[in-house]
Amino acid sequence: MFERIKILTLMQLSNKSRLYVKGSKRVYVHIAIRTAIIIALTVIVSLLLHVLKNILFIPVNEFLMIFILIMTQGLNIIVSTIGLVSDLYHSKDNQILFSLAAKNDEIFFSKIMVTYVNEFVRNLFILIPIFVGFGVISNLGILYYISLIFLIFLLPIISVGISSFISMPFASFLNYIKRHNLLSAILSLIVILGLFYLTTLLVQQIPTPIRIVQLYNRFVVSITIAIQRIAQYGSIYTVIGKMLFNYHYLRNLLILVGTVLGLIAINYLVSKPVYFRLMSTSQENTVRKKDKKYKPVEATSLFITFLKKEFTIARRSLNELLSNYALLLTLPFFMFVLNYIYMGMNRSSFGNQVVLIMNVIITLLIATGSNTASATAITTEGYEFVLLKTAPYNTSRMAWAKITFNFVFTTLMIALSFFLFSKALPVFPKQDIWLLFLFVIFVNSGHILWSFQIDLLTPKLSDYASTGSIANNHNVSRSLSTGLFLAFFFGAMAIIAFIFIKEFGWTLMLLLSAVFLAYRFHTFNSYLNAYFDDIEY
Amino acid sequence: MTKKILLVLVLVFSILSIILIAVWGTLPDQPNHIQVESLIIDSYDETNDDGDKFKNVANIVTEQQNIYTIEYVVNPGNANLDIGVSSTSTGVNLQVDMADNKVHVLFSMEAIGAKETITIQIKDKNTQISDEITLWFKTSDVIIVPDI
Amino acid sequence: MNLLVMFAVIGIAFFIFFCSKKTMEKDKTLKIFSVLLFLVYLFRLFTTQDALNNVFNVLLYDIETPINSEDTWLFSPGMTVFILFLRWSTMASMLWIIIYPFFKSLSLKYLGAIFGTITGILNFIFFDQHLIAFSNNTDLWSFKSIQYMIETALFLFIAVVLLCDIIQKKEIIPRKKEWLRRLMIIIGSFFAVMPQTLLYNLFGNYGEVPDEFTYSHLFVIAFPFLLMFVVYYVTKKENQISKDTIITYLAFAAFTQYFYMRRETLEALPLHLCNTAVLLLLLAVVFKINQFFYFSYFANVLGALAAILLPNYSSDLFTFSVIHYGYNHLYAFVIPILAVALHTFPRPVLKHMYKAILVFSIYYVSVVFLNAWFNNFATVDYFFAYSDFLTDMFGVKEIQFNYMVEFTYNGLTFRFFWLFQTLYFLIFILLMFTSWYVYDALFQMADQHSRLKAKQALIKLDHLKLLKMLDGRMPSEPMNPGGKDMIKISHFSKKYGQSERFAVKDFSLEVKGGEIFGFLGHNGAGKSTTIKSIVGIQSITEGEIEVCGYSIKSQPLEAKLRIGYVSDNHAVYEKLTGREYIYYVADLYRVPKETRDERLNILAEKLALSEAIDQMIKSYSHGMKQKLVVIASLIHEPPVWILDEPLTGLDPISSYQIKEIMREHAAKGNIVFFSSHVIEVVEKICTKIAVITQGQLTGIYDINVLKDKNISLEELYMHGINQGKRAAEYV
Repeated sequence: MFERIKILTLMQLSNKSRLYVKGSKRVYVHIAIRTAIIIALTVIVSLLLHVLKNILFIPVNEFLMIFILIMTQGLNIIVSTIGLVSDLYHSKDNQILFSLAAKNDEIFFSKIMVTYVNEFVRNLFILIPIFVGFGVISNLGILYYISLIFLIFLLPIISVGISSFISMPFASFLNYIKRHNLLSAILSLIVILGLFYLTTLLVQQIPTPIRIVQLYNRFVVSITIAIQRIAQYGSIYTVIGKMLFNYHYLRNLLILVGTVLGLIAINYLVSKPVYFRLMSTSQENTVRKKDKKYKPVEATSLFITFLKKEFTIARRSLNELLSNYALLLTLPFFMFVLNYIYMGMNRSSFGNQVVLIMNVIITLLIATGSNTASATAITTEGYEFVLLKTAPYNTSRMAWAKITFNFVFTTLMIALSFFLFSKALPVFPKQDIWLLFLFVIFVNSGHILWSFQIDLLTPKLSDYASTGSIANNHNVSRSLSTGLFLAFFFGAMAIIAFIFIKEFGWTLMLLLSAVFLAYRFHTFNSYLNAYFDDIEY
Repeated sequence: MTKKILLVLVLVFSILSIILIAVWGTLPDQPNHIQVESLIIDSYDETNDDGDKFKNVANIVTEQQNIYTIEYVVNPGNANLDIGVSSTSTGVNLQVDMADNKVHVLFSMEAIGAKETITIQIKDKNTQISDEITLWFKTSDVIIVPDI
Repeated sequence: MNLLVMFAVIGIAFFIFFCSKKTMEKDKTLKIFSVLLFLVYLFRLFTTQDALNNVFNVLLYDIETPINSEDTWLFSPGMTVFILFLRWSTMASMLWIIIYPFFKSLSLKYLGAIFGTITGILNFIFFDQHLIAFSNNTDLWSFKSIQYMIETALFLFIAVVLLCDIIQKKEIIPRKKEWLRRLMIIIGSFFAVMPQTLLYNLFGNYGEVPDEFTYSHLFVIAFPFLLMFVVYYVTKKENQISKDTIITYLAFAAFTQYFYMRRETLEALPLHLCNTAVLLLLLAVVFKINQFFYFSYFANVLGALAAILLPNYSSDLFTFSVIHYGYNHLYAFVIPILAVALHTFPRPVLKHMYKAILVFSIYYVSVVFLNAWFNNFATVDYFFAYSDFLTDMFGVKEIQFNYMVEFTYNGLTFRFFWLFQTLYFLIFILLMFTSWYVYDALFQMADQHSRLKAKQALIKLDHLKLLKMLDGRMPSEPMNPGGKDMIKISHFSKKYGQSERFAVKDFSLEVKGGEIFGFLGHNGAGKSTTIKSIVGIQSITEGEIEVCGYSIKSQPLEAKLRIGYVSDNHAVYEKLTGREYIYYVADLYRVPKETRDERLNILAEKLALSEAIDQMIKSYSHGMKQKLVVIASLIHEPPVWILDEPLTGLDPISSYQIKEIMREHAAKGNIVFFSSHVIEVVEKICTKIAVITQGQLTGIYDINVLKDKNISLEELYMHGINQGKRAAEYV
């Protein structure tokens, strides 16, 4: 069994990374660079801890260590869980692995081992700097450093063990959600609204008027208290922290070892009956009964045909839709939290001007960062683009349908954000809110057209057709860069408009954004007419 | 350029904007010249003949709960405060919450294990008015014997 | 007296000129006189501060400034205005006639001749008034008077020579389209050399201080960009000589405008960044010195932009100092960019950037040293590298004054603010590199734009060609009416991208209706390439393809309407149901609702897909997807049905079903054209076969004939492949 697990693990590792080749010069260089990075990080962490202790007067003790462990390992668990859900249940190499002469639980453990190795390497960059930094600042003894040696190996086991255990019910839940799109959408909406509500509650705890110095003092005190209190609920990490600081060392060490063994055992016992069934059902496509009386309606124009297709596909891939526009979902949060803090301060007239300027920059950064769907609009047609090439009409209208879809969706999201914002923060001048909304819509629409144009000129149809993924897509990167440029450019214009021109500031901003939109519309139309027919798969 | 980098940029800009407005975009605070007249810690168990205040924290401060909060009362309430705290031991960390007039005493594991007795002084740096309290882990067999 | 002098000088000049009989020598003589004129003019420029500059508010517009305007006037208002415009005209004409001998622009010759002659004669007639305008005295034998006489005489001489030339060559009356062009040159040239005190002379201290982004400041910022665009768009279609002439004219104008202000004091030396620009640009343009040009391109443009955005003047808009500042920085900003845009200088490469940095470094070190030295005698601040102007603006004065090195030598104190000056240098270098990226982005935009224009022109041309080929027929009619029921491929060749190798070479084939035509070939033979070119997925490199008489190249939409295509990769929208997908395709082919429903039901029944037609395509097997694509391709009942490897990966039943449909479709008189690399399938179903090997047609066979003659298709095919391989090896 162990031999098979070892072979499966090495096979998967060598497939994912070419670096695991013994003796090659590249490996040594890689190790040397990574070691240098770890040393540098250790120095930085030590300095940070020194600042915490001697400047902020936050105690650098076992409680802080436990808190840091909870935070870092907690985050690791979340990330590993997401990774494991994909790797264990949806990975394409399952088709190869399960056809080999190995048991299901052996495959399971080989995948866990691969995750463990990656987690171990990643943890080196986190744990070594933190632990060594603590040792230096707190003048800890030799036993501490000896404990670190085996702790470096045991900590990833805990996070991976917990993640793999959690991944099972999580994967099951995801499978259920996948089959019920409407439920998925409703849940997502509830989560987002819930998070927004929680954010408003949390932020309203900040006392106004906000004085940054006092707020800062309060913040430091609150954080310090929180660190002490949270550390009690760290379970195994509390045990580890106390062990490292030499409290009931042997007892805590036994608990640690017992926990590790327990996690391994529980994963083994649960995975045996559950893993294969969960993995195979994750890859199945359920056939739902369709109402046979349902007949799609004939479209009256090509534009409507394309628009209908976009809406239908979007409706049935809500997860992809959400991931495309995830950044836009953070817009109401940023707007509310930031403006609450701004409004809570006793601002001068210059402060009011800076508030407007910052709102322009930050809303544009977020809004334009969500137009990556436009930057891959043609690319994501993949091989289906052939259908458009063979169709006997001017199918460049497909571009306008996609743009309309993206425009409608982003405008609705932005409008919702501004609406929530205006309701949550009534003290912010209403006129400024709606002028800012109009401005953002203009610039964002121009950016949608610009992103589409980027994809029009360099579509990556065959890449997408073969991989099904837009990861590392150059057009996405260019779209984000142009969005960044626009945010800074209009930020600079906002400085001139609101600080120097003042009373006609909004007029200038709206005029500039309208001119930008008109220019991009005209340019895009020209490029579409000239180059759409030249696109070849 | 990726969405993650963009998100980091947004966060950085947000924080910078708050700092910018806080430093250059706010009106200066009105100075408050009201001085402290008295500063009293009124939560304690007993006093000795010298009037020193004592508080038994044996049942409050444990390995699971290492924080003890001292509340002090300032008169007048709107006085201009600049609170400083000090202790007789290095085994504690003191955090002052001037907004709520509280001092949080964070005991280290070592101090809890050794059941250290610690005296905390709370002082207003402007007027030098102060008060003290001693925190100790009183066991049942210990009594305070008054001087005869 | 002055008229006598005028005629004498002109007479002597003519004599010298017409002595040189050869044209080449005449040209050379004209060049020498032009250079001489320029030098004489420079001498006047450097040695004269005109009294006319102090004339204030001739039109009595400014009622706010507390100056008695009339006390400043040298002449009556009418005469003042006349003299101002005469001097303006002289300046513009002078540059035309100085530049003409080196660039031979007909427009310059014409304008120089007409304007120059009229202006020159007027200058002599109003000679006294000019003397008053210079130095407020009319002493005819003063140094100034003699110098001006020589200058005017030279000026008039060259103008008259040009006038004689255009009369001789009968170019006196320009063509109609030249009128507009010359008018624009006049307007542009006059603007370029506008006397900088003109507005002050006429209107007084009009306008606000153009600073801090007031409306006049915004105008000052926007104007250089507008000017650049206007000049570029007006001149981009001119020939290269005209473009070079414009840049040269601007360089000369920049130079003369800069030295309008006296420069004798140390503070006024042209050592600020944008001041050096006017010198270096003139030298660069005249002598083609790349280092100087690219230094201006990278460094001066930045400096000029900063100066326009953050000016350091404090006078009103129409005052001399503001106009002078404006012109200086306008030219420093505009000329380098225009020179590259108009191809007078090529686009910079990294080597030019490094040269620019080198020149900038030399300039910077010189300026730092000169600042330290000259501040012993006067308050100088070249490039703002000495005073606290910049550090005060950014609130970092400590950086400058806390890190200073000072020493004395020969009684002179030398002060260096080493940290500030080093940081300033490094920041400027960084900005130069940033400008590289900005320029690069702009170049890409410009290239994209010009490619777009070229493409649009090509599209128009193609449309005109089509109309010509149709010879009066409607675009909806077939190019080749005789090819109604066939696919006709004529000498078709296809190359991919920049590759030299042809994927298909000189392929010709005719496929008629009622046939199931097989297209056989090994992997990579060119089958899919040919098919994709027929259906319009890929372009055609050479040759022609007609479907039902319509050219796929020139009449693609009409041709595609008649084609149904089954691709080799049955990619479909997996999130749609089968029915939704068919409806989508039917919408694309404009199939009416009743017809599509009927056809869908029939085909789905035939292909046993009725049960699954309302399920998501994601749940379909490979065969089901293929069948769906077959239905989609037949929904509009195309006369030409093209299938690319349709039976790959299908089970026997599905294969049989598709083959039956192919037979039915062909039986109706339609064309069925399909490719395969499986000989047995092709043998069974086809009536005719074409074999393609290494991109070339190796044979067309009638299956019935082969059967009658008992010839094995497989052997024939292998023979064809070997022949093809030998041919390829030979090549």
